[in-house]
Amino acid sequence: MKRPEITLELFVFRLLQERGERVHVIEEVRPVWVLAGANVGYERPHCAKIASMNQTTRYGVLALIAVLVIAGGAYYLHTSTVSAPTAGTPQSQTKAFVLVVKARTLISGQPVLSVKQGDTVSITITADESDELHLHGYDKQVDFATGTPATLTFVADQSGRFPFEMEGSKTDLGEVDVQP
Amino acid sequence: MVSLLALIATPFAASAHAFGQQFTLALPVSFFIFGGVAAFIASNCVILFFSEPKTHHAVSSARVTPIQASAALWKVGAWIGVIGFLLELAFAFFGLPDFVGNPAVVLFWVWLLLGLTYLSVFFGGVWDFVNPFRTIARFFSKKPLYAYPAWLEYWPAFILFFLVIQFELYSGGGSADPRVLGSRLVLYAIVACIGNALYGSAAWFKYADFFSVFFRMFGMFAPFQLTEQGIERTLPGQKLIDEHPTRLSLLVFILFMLSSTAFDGIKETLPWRGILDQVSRLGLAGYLNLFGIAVLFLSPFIFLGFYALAIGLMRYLTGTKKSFTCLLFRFGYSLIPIAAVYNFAHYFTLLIGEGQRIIYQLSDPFGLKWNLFGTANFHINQVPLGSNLVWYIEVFVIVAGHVVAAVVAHRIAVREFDRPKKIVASQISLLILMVGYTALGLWILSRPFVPG
Repeated sequence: MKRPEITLELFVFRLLQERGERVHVIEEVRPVWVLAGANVGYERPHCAKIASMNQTTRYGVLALIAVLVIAGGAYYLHTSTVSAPTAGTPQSQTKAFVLVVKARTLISGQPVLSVKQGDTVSITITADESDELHLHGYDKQVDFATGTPATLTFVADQSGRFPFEMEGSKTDLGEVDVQP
Repeated sequence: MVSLLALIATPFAASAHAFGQQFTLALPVSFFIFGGVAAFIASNCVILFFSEPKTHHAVSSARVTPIQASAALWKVGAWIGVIGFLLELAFAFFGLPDFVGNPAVVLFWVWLLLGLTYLSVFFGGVWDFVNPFRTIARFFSKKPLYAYPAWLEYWPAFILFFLVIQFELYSGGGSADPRVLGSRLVLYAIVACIGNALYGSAAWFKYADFFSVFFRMFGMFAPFQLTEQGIERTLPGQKLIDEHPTRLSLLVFILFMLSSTAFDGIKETLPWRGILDQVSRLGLAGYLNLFGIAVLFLSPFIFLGFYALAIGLMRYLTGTKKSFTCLLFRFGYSLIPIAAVYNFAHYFTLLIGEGQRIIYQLSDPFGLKWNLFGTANFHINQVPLGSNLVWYIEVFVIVAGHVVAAVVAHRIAVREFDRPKKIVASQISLLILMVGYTALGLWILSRPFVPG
């Protein structure tokens, strides 16, 4: 660490030390272009325009940038996630999905069921063994017997990603993606 | 037949949840883009607006608010810690056999490893205040047998950290089993006792104890620190700028704080499944878990590689005479804010979701139909926040952490380099590194979860 010049700050530093306050460090950076007597020449600050701003202007510009980024971002994010209801499409629909499971594998039906928040969802499952279809998160289940279809119906009032599985055999079948 | 099956299935239905389930939708691409752009803009602002050398000195100081009877208070803290630990063991061994009914699991994985972590970011020193392992270890042995060997550094803490994460991710349900968790906690206490007997509590709990180092690192940012003298008040993040790691093992530990969370997220993504498929095709299908554990262990070293590259680039761009190791260590703490927000963005839904279980579990911790606090019939809402709110929180927190890290790195650079050109040049490589980490964090959150 370079020897600090005797300055007002150094005086304050010593004062705080005497008062018993723990002083971490003095931040010491010399302005290169004002070295008295040294022949280092003049070095322009990196961004002259910004360097010539005073404290208030600088923070003002930063605040403006922050506001623009946050406001612009909020607008962008809002428009990208909220889809305006198109004419003719009801706000909430009933969506039915059919799954067929054989040998603990989904042989018919999609593993990812995409619905919108507020939709009524029904999942009909037919399997080659008896088990229970359990939907996590919503914590809903329905038992089914071999070869007999069983339907799980619920209202998707919470948005999120909710896996469902065959409870007894712990077979993950897929998930319900409820879009907000 | 079906009803019989239902009868058998019902007691197990509750325990069939995998512990630590989060129901968050993947972050939409728009959020990912916004986060990356905002982080990039913020970093540039920090560099451009504050990179000429100051024309005045700045003094930073720590104010200590002495608490009356500090020594007695710390004895109380020690007792709180030990009683809490013994209760945790009691719950683990004598409570119900699953995480749904037994508070031990949620108390440890959610309220300690997440809750106390986030508290420590703003109010440090709480773990040191209660540390039950130190109290128990010192009960058995007060004088060390040997001096702590310098070559050990923080490696024991890192190894223990790795073992805890490996237990969390690869124990096949053991981490959610209260009995297994309890036995691991006892094992950890035994290790602490042995370490304390060998090297003394001052050295062991400074260098080698995972929890102590873990919570201390997260607490480096905190504006308030609980110390034996009282509550110390500093500018937030000041310690990250003033101090720096001097050991490679501590740097690896900090990077593991970051990489373990990243790995936990990455292993749920499709590209990771692709890698696992490749490994299977090489004939190692039975060793996929071992492969994952190996990658987990190597992850901090991979991140160290990227960090080292950034430091190397910094040396090249600035043309500085300072050594590589000097700079590598000097900027070491600037990654802690990113590690903290990675952790929060990835796990906070667990805290507010599964974390609610503690409300009904504490009323009946042993499953004996008690109702100590009247909350035994509380039904948790596993999805308390809508997806939109979760996304905004994730992006806001990750970008905020990025900004803090950029400011910290910048303040360090202003101390290390005296010319504006060098300050800016040094920040370019760190900008690339930090935007890279931020983008990775956002990418992990935006990848669709692959079930099974």
